[in-house]
Amino acid sequence: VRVQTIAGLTSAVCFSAVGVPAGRAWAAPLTLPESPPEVTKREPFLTHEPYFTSGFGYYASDRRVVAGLGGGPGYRLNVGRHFAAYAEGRWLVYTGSAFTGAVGGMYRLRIIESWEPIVGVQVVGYAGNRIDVISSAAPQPAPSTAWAAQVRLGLLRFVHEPFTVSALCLDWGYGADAGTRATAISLSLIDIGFRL
Amino acid sequence: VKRPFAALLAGLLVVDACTSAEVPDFAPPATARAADAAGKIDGENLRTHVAAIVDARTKEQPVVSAYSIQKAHTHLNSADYMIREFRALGYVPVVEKTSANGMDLTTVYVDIPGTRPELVLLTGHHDAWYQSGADDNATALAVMLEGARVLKDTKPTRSVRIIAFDGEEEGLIGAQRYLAEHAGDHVAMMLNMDCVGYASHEKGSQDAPAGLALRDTGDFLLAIANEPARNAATQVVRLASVLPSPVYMLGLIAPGDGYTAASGSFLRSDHGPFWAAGIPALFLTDTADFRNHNYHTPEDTPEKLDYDFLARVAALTVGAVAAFAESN
Repeated sequence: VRVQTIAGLTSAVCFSAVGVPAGRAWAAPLTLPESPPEVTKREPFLTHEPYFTSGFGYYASDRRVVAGLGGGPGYRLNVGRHFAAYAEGRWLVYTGSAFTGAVGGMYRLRIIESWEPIVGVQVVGYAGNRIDVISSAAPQPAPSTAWAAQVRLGLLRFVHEPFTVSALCLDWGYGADAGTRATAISLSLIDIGFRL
Repeated sequence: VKRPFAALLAGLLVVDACTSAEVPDFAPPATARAADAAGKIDGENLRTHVAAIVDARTKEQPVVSAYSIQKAHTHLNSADYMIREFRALGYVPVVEKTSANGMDLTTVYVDIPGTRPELVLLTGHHDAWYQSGADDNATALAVMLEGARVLKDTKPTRSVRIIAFDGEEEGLIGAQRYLAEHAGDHVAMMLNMDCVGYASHEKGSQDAPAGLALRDTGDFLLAIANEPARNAATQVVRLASVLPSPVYMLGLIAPGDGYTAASGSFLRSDHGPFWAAGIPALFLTDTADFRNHNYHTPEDTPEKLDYDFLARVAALTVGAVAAFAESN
């Protein structure tokens, strides 16, 4: 009896641990409940993300100055968990009315939860109004379009599906403008995207 | 992958080629006229005029205007000087009077008739803050008087009008009133001068408006153009290199009529109302307070000027007027 009692207590403790009432454990068949189905949601490999961006843009060489504040639409194609390609345009107002268009790629770092900083590279073109600079050394105005390659760095970028919000994203780089070096800087104040 | 990339690159090159058409130089006859006029500039005359204009201002009681109660304004004796000197050169100056801010303003001009009625304007303001105003703007008046001497009886194709505006320091009033009263004139080109005689050959002597990268040595003449004067700016900058006494030039071309949020510094003289009217105009300047720290102070005196620089500027400016007067 003593042995049985001890065995019964042992069984009761064991069954209690898996959620079976101890009192009925001795008689009940030893069946464990089915584990619930796994609920991990898989992200689609490709997601489309239209967005709107706004901020400052500045492009200066010995041959021209383009600067302004403005914004415009963009489109991002998110590839897998970390990569994205994008194209965006902006309308800037200061040195007249200028337009910029950029295409680039970026790497999205998933650090914690919704914080998703990015680094990327892009090619940006400038068109429209600008201040032309000519000189005795180069009296011919430069072509109306200008180009630059930039590095993009966005630390303050957050994802809350389906929305993305980024602030103070910096683009910095250089261009070649009619044989002179140009500095190209832009700073997005805020951009807001929506993942489809 | 290569084909779309090559097509994109080819497209960009075509766009670049289409948007950077070569601006032609002045035609040879116009260049010859320019060189001839430039070669007749007498640097001593410029020096004499600047000294005489400043001396005339010292004999005038300055007035404090409603426009700026902190600075005293002179304009009467400079107008008299221009009238007197134009007459001495054999012209019959036109004197137009208007009233603003409690002052009678006097604009003075003379014409060099051409075979066509369209006008090439050579302008500058004769009023000044305080009793000095050597660089601002006795230098321009000296160039105008020397231009009047050199271009007299040249019988250009386009008519040349040399105008000394009043009231520039009072808010461009003289130029505004002139433009309103001469709205029917066909102005082919305007060259407006304001502060054209101060230079420094020291590195770091030149400042620039925020965001603009100008040469850091203040030894150049700056031409600022609106979009209608884009080609003219290029032509003048090229002309500056080929004249016997060249002057290094920078040019800034503002888009459209020049009235952008960025171009506040470009509109600080009498060409402003002309830009607003869509008239092609070049603003020639030594950049004023971006180089000359005596600007708008009683210290803007004749001995601080660079008369070799002023003579080169005068040769270029009068030469450019002669060339525009011969252009189609």
